[in-house]
Amino acid sequence: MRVISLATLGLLSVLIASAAAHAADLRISVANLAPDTGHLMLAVYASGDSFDARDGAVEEIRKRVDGDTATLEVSGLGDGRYAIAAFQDITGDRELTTNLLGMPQEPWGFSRDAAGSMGPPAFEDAAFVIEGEAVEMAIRLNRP
Amino acid sequence: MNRREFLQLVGLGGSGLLLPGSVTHVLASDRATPDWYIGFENPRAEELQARTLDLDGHLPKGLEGTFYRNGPARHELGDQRYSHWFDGDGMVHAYHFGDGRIRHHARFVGTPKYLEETCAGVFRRPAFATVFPDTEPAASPDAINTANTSILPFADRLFALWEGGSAWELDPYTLATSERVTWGDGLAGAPFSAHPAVDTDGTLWNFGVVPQDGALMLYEIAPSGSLRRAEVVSLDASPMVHDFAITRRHLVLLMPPFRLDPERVERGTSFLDSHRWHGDDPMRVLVIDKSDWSRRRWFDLPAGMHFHVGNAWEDGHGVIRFDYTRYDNADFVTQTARGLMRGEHVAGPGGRTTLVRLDVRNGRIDQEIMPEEVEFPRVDPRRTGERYRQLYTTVRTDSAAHPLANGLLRRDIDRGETERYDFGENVIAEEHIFVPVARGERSGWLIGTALDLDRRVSLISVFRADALADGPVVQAHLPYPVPLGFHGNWSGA
Repeated sequence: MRVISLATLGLLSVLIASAAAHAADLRISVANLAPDTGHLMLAVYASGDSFDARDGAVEEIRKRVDGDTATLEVSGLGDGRYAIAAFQDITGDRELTTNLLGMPQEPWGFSRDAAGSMGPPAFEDAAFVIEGEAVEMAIRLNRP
Repeated sequence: MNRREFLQLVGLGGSGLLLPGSVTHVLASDRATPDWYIGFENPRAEELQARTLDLDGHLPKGLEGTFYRNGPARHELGDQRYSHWFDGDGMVHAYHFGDGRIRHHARFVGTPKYLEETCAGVFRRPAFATVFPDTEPAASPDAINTANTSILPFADRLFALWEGGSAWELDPYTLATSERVTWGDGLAGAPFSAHPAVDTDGTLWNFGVVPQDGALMLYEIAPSGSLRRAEVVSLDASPMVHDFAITRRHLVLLMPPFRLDPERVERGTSFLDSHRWHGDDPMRVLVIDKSDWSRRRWFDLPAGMHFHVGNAWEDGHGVIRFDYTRYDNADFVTQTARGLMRGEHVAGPGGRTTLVRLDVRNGRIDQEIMPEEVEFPRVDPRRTGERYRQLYTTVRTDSAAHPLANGLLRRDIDRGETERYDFGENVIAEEHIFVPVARGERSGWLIGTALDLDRRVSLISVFRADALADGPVVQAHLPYPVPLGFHGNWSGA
């Protein structure tokens, strides 16, 4: 029994170590915000479908903008591929304001500063991998 | 915002990889270039001033005001040179006429692109036809807006215009750049073409092609400058449309079979190179009721390319007549305008004045193609959308010792008669515009610029519109050459 206990403990410790690795931190810095106005709206997606739909984010953050940069931390993300979409909600409606043609009218950006050639980037272009280690992601917002 | 909406209009983006043939790093000094290459070099300074031009002849009495022009002018920055005539940042020129003198002043339009790249000392955003290897993605059409195509005095304001994004407001006196123009709620950044039409009642009409999925913006703006209406009209394709025309009752748009190909739209492919010529398809003519934009009718002309429509009008029986400058294909924009930037004359089909008669009752449409090689059609602005007889264009003859126009042509489209002026083989004639004097469609001045390759200076000339062959009544030369430009307009004193 003792051996089994030890084995169990060993397994547990592996699990614990693994769990720690699977709950890495994601540190996000956002630049080029319109200074001291509105809120930064940021969402982390774990799949192309949810990213394209801008629905079903694994993490959503709303943070008052102070200065023209912001830093955020997300913890508890498991290993995998993620992509971030962000915008600055200046109008206070919690939506990205667009013009008649769907073009953003508030600052916006994506992880890896991804940009599509005629529209938003694909998940693949914005995606980054979390694999145990903490990840730092800098996003520079586009201005309309 | 959903993805499709965003896709529809985040516009002309594109960047990243090198497109073969779209990039040159060759500077003028690196190679032997023809004399006409000075028309495609940067101006000698960021701001140009010539207080009193030497006049050959006398300024007509009463001709007081400002002739504004615009055109691509920053073709090079650092060791980069754009590959296409249409790429460069816009420089606006003001030729002030008054007190018997002409004064010249020119400044670049301070778009975000111009300002950022000036600071960086490098072209870093995509251009119409050039994408450098390390170009940044374009966040929006206005991020790459060069405001380089036309200049419009309207409602006591001055607007520098481009094709795919916003107008930019300038100070009419100092030419200092003010704000990007937003005509109304929800319209910031929407495309506003460089060829709006000012109606006889002062209303300004315009369109803008929305790339990718294909849509058209339409605008109706009151003489005061306030927006009356703006709407999005869906299209089933995204053609390159540079100009349009109005009649009393209709907007007339010609859509050449030169269309954005979604498969070509990828990183590193320029906006121009994302277009494909479909020579088996017709040139489509879209006629839209001015008072009800949902009333739209389509007609077909044979395949052809155009940049400019001179004018249009309709009679009481529903017959619309218009003229456009027709090309057999898109080679001018895809090849010739690139060759110019290399100092090469890539000969291709030239523009031909084409007169169209469209009977909207039975859909009959016919066109007649004139023989001369022309461009830059203009009419008496008081005849915009109204019956007109006189059409003024530049013309190129076999004697031209360069790839562009060397003369002016007046065509009486009723009688078929023409009158011309030849500047000589070593002068490049640019657009000349009609400035009315008194009543009557031939009573006015034709004012425009040219580039004298022998003296290596730009010229400005004033002709009597009804006596082109007599030569200019007054001509002035600038103390420098200015880059060859596109369009201009007059603002009376």
